Amino acid sequence: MTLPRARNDHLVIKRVADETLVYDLQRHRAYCLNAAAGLIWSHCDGQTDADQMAAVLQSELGLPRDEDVVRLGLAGLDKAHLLVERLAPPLLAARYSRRKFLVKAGVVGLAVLLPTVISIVSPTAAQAGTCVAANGCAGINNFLPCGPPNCTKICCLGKCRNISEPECV
Amino acid sequence: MSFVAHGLRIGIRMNDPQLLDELPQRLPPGWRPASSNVVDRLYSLIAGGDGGRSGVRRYSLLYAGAARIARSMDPDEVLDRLEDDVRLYVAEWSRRKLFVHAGVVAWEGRAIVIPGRSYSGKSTLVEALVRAGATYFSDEYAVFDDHGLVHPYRVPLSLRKGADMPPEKVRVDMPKPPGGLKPLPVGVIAVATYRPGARWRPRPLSPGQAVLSLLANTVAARRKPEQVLTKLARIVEGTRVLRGSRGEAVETAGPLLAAVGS
Repeated sequence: MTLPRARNDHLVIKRVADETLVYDLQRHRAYCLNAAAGLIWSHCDGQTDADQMAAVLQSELGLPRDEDVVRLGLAGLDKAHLLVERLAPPLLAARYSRRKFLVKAGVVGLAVLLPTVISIVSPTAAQAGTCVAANGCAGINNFLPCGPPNCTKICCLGKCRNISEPECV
Repeated sequence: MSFVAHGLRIGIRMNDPQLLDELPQRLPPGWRPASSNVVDRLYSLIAGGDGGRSGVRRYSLLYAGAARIARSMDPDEVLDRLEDDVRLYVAEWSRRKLFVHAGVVAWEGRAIVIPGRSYSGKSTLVEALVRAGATYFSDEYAVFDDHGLVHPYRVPLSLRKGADMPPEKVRVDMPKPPGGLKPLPVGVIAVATYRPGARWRPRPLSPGQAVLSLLANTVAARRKPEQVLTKLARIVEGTRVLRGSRGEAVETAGPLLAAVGS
């Protein structure tokens, strides 16, 4: 089985305290890897297996030496497209086992230490700006988002319409 | 005319000199006149109105460079578009400042920053904080410099009347403090989501999560992500960043002000 390798192309990587921030320049998504997820990712070199990573997590963060913890982290990294190749099904089996792991370990306090990958979609300039009032977009196509709720519509031929409407294409 | 705003030179040319009187109040806070003919962005404003023939009315048009960005029979709508586009352009392309969509008030020498998209209840909370004694700084952008200080960006507070109504601009009747407003360090960043009936019991965000929360509201996030991440990481360093649901703004204002001193 191929061991996971971290992707490093088209990424901006920044360390903040014990977390790792990653910006995907292709997908325009940003990720925050907590200490455990960052540690796993940094050991995705194609040579380190899950047991070795579990040993690192134990020595660095005091987590129980358990391959399920590593699989949990790898599943998050895989979902975030931060690995060169998609994971094989056996490694993905643990994707939804966070709760099961906590029950198995019997220590709820471990939850904050478990590998976590949080993601957001990076906004376009217009999305991060103020919505245009519905009466303020006359004659502008596909320009700024407008109208409630939550800027889910865009200005299209002078009216606030759903972005998916064919007239706006 | 040409002007400089946050390091960018912008030109506006028009066929109706009367429109010049309308412009100053619509330009981004902090603008100053410039004499240079070389600009980063040029707008062309063509006023419509009655045509030569009876019964013929012409559109008012607005161009940014060669691209038409507005066309309307109502010149005010075109001026509104100009105002919005200039602000957005400056926010995205400013070389010196980082613009995060947020409401900002000053309290005890520090800034309370409330990042959020439009219609997230940000303006309502800003208004409640001002009524509680804070100084109005901004309803649109938190403008950060390289040192992480927040600069005032005083545009009229926009409050809407109903859920489906466009925002109506309401001028905040708050005089500037003697000596004007100076850039301030951040006291608290509050990521507050309005939920009817909720009580403000926020939890602190880790530095990484805090950066993501600000990045989600940063105008230049896609254009220069590396610089943005670096600056945001500096801003959240040593700053309290709180996230939670809030109920009515007046009930949240007090605890939020108290969080600055604690």
